[in-house]
Amino acid sequence: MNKTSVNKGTPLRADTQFKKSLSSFLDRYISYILILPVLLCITAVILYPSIRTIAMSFYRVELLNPERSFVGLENFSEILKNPDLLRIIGNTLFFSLASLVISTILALYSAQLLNKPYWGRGLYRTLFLVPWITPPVVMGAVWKVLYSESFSPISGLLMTLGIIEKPISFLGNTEWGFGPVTLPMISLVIVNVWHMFPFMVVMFLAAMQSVPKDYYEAATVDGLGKTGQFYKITLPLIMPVVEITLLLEFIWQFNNFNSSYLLTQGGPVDMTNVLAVKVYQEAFINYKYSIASSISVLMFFIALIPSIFYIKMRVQNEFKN
Amino acid sequence: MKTKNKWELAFHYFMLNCIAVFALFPYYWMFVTSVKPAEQILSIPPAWWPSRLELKNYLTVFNIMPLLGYLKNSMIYSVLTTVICVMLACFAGYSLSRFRYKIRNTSIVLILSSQLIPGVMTIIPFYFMMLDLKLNNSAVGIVMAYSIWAVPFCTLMLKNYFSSTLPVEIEESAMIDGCSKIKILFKIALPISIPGIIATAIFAFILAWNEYMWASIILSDSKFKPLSVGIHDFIGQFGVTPSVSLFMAASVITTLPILIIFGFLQKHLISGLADGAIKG
Repeated sequence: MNKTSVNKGTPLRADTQFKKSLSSFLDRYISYILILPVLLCITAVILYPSIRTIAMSFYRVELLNPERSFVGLENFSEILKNPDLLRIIGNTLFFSLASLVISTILALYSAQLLNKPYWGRGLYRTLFLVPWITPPVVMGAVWKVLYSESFSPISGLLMTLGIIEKPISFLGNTEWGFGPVTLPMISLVIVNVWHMFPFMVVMFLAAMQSVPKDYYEAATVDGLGKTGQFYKITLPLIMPVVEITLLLEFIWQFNNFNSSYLLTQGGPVDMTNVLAVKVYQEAFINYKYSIASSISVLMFFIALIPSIFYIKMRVQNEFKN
Repeated sequence: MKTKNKWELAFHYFMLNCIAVFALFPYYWMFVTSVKPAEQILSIPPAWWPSRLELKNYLTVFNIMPLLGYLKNSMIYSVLTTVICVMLACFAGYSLSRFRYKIRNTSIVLILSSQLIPGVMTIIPFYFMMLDLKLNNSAVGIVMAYSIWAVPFCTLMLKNYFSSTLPVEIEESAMIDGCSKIKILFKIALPISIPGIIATAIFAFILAWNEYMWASIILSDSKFKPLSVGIHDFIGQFGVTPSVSLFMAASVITTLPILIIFGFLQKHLISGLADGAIKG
């Protein structure tokens, strides 16, 4: 190696020099070289299409007519005048908020149970997480059977207990309802809770485990009961995590496509239809691309306020380290 | 005091079991229905356990739909997605956790916001982009969609993993020994971060395996369909009819690979999830 470097001007020397300058270039700009692929990918696959959708919502795009005409806000006034769409907005808000509230209570309670130092907590924690990893298509298929008129064990149980006389169709009942609160919608929310609460358990449990044990010991000495400890110590200390999880889950559930589409495809008569499913139907069943784009832009703007809060809270943490 | 503790313990396990029943009953029903003999399917109220195990359903389901092809496609898409996503996320996560530079904060905001954009908002232009590039009905298009939608969460997961568990001191001493930064990444940082990388990989794999919406739009040719779309088409064809035991068998087959992976690696995944969603 030394000999060749003495021998000036050989190709080998140029080669090592190139290697050296390459490695110093890599060393200098490594932070950029490592982050750029992700930024480019996100821009190409997520941001650029989003901007195109926003642009498309100002145009009238028809399948057979190649000419696109600029229509301004006409698409938006058209969708907002449509009473069906207003109902779907109501459905989406009810669906996401009801799922969120029920899941939060269930997940807080489950995490509290799993946080106690009793036998089997690892096993139960694993079992509780199983719904979350279930493929949504399978979730839809199984719950369709659980809710069906002819094969439902839930109906079967209610009949054995004498609560109902003949099997009911949970997802097909259109008789009873109050606004977005209908039997199919409640059934859908239960399925969605089933699918989403495990993720929240993991978040809450991680937060609870970081609460120092001596706080509880001190509280016990002061005569604070178990319930009091939960409200006075656990809850305030895990609140930052709860807030971030709730914001993230609200946005995810507001944008949720799988639960409604794979269980009921939005039916019966739009009772369980949510905005994400509506966009999909308008775009790929009715081929109304500009209407679909406008609805998705509307979705984006409704979820914008919680999104900003979420980003703000995360950024405060992320920039620190 | 002692009796109180006993009751408390009994109540504790009673509640845990109630939640476990809620979480797992659909799985019980899926399995029981998949092995029920035909004469039991139609009984009202339904039978709670099968009178005999009808394993023939599992063979039938392979004959009436191209399940092996679907399985193969799902496997290809999920593995490719996992590899690409983990690679991108490792690099970006490492960069964000170790270096301070001009566009770092902008990058974090960009990654966080892309996590919140509704998928349906980008699907129409993305579909047309894929049509123009002739990448619909190909592994490339779908893997692109899957891996890049999974990247934001995975990047944050790994960024927080690197910041909290990877000791800076080791890297600093390697740097004093004259190791280049890129060498430190590949020879030191990544090898000792295997648990975090495994967590990210399982997350990406599950996401890709379970996904339905993108595949249903981008892959219209049944040769390219993954399990999720294949099964959904199959159910749509029959509806909730006496063939219900067949599509429960298909559901069991779809879920099994995910359950196996999860069973072996759940510890890693559980500790990684909190990193991705909340930690700073």
